[in-house]
Amino acid sequence: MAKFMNTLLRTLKTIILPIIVYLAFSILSKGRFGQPAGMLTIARQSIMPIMVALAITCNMTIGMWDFSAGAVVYTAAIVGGNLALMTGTGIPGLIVILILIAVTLNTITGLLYNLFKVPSIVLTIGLMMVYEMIPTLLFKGGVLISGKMTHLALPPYCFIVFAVMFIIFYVVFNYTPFGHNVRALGSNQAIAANVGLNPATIKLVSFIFGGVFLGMAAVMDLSTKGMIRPPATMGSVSMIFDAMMGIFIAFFLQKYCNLAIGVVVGTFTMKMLNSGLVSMGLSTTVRDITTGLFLLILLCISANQGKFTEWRNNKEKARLANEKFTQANA
Amino acid sequence: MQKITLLETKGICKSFGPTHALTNVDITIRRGDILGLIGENGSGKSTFSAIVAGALSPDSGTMQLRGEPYKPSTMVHAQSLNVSMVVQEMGTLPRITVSENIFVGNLHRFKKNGFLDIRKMNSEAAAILKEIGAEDIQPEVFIDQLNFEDRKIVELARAMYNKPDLLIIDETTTALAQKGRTLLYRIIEKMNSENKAVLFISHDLDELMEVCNAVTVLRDGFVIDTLEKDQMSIGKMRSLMVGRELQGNYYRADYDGSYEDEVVLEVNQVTSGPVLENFSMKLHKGEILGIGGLANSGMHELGRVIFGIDKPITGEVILSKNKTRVKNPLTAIRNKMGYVSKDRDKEALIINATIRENIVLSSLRKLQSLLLITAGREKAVTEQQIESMSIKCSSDTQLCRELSGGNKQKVVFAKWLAAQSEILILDCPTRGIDVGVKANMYALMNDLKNSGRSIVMISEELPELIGMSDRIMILKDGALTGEFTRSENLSEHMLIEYMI
Repeated sequence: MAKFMNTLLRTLKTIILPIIVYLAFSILSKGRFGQPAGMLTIARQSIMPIMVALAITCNMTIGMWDFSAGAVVYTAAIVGGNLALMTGTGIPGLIVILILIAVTLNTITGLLYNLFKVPSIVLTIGLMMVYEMIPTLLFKGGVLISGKMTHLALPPYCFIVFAVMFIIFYVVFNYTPFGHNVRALGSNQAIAANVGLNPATIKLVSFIFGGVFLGMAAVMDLSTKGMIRPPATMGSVSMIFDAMMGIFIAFFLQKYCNLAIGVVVGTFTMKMLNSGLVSMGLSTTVRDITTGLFLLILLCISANQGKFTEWRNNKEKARLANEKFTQANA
Repeated sequence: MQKITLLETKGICKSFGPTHALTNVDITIRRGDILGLIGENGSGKSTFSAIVAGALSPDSGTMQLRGEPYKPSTMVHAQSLNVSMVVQEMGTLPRITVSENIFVGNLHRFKKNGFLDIRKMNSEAAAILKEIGAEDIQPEVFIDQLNFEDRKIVELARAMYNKPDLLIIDETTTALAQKGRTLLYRIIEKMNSENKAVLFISHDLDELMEVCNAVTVLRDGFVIDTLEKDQMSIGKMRSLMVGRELQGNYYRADYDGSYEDEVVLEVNQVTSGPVLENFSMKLHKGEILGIGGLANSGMHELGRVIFGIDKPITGEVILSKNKTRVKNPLTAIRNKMGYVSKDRDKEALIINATIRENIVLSSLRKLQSLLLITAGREKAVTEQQIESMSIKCSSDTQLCRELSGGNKQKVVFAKWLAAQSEILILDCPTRGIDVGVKANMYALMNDLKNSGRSIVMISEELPELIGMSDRIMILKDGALTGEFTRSENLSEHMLIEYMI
């Protein structure tokens, strides 16, 4: 019974954030937000950022930033989409080619990271600019696919894709030595290396594994939009914004739920927040400010949650010390 | 009966920069040995154990394990050769489970069709925990849910997983309460009964007398002696640990421990960190006040509280001149206080900045004129310090990370001297620097004292405390256990009795 109550409590704490966002916008938008059809659209729109979030979760768990993820998605979608059209391999070809391109690019990122030993933030911003140029050089006009190749973006296929990719991530992250090593490395790199883990190999595999999800994110993005043009310089960053915010929320939620579930809940919450702000008719500027404040408040709570315990412990310690001092001087 | 040699080291040397941590260390560990390794702080005990356990490589020397050449490249490699160690610091990984902590680095052993057999992993972890007598620790819980002692027991389980022939226990008992100690002693007994060996490092001489059947004494990186059980006594161990005379004018030559009556700083009933409790002291003008104790006695926390880095849980630090309460480092610096941290590269210096940037850092307000600081003024101050401190550098724009340990420490001192600090808190001021620079530092401290500056010198080195202090306060478990005034008759034996 106690175990059941504990699980129930943790589940409630996990979903309380999206519920609050849902209720808040349902009330504030006077019914424009929160209708079943609208929520289904938000769920569909969340799939692509969730794929990106899952792709960079392992890296961020280890403490590596990946700002090149958006550029990889663009490159995989435009280059891979054109190759799939040229070869006439249809949806299966689209999936395979896009994943291969994304995995190749992420492998290059991982190898360069281990080779250059520069901070991940510096390396991936540099590579983002390089990767963004690839589609411009090869296919200036971008990619346009036919309606027949966009089925994966439609229900129920999009949800099947999401379910398959989520299960793959969940199993790898929780039930393979790689997933456990990622978590160990993220806990303390020095101790992890001392007990025999190879940080360079784990980081490389983490990039390669992420490449699979970025490839799938590219498939979903291309299937949803039908047409993608090469991004402007650093234009791909916006693609990873929701994903990164989702992971921050997931890190906050991981004491109540599995990190993989937290990533889904976090990214969906971010998407709901964006849609809710749109439904209220707010300008882009106000939407950006609100989103930033939301995240700031959440991170503040997350960063300071140990302070209260510390304050309580110090108070008790002070009481005991004062008692001893009084006794000694009595 | 003749014991069989399990591990033999010959001529092991290890240096960290200019510091010789180990010099020609020959130690033999035999099957059935519970060998205590003792020595003062910095004597090389942890360095030796880290080399045997594969965490460090020796600069020279050889090792043989079971008669075969032994050269572990990592701790995991050593473990695979049945040599395990429980480290002094916390060695568990947060945010993962107990069983993951036990098997980290060995997870491939539980791989089944590419996936981890978590059930098997947990059940094996439970078996190991049961074997060492810690069945109350659940393998599937997150390590963060355990207290400090239980986490140390998990480390012990990790060490015992490979059924080691040699178990190294590096000052672990200080982290353990009765439950953990009982469990550890039971493991040691079992190792002994199975004709295996234990290398046991501890500062607790009573505990060493009780647990070990031999002790090897290290001093300044040299093996001084090995005592068999029938030769062991606390007095003899102490004598071997500290048997060293003060030489020439290396420290202060005088035994005049006088200072002015004026109190410059008061610490009143301060509680801080895990151990320091209700500590009070007064620092006088022109005084070198030595604070001694073991590493976890609370003395380092005291230095941080005095300079305002850590906020005290109870009590206060008051500057007597203007009754100012030291609440943070800014207040301290504005009231002419300086602090030399034990962790030079992380807390005392900006190692990627230049010598000039570091030296002028605490004096920027003084160098300012009409809101501007000119490069000329910065350079003048820096060059004066480089000359007076004899800092060996190519120019004042050289990066601090390129300097030797001793010259880095000179830059730290120069920073506070440039700021004309009148009260200096020095935490292990000569840690990791060579003898020549040490002598310079001691001479400088003496000059500072003679010019009326006041110094709190926190040190883990007893000769330094005796050689330089006008007054010495010894801390144990966060409380004052002894206070000594400067005297020719003051010996390390007298201090160590209050420390251990």
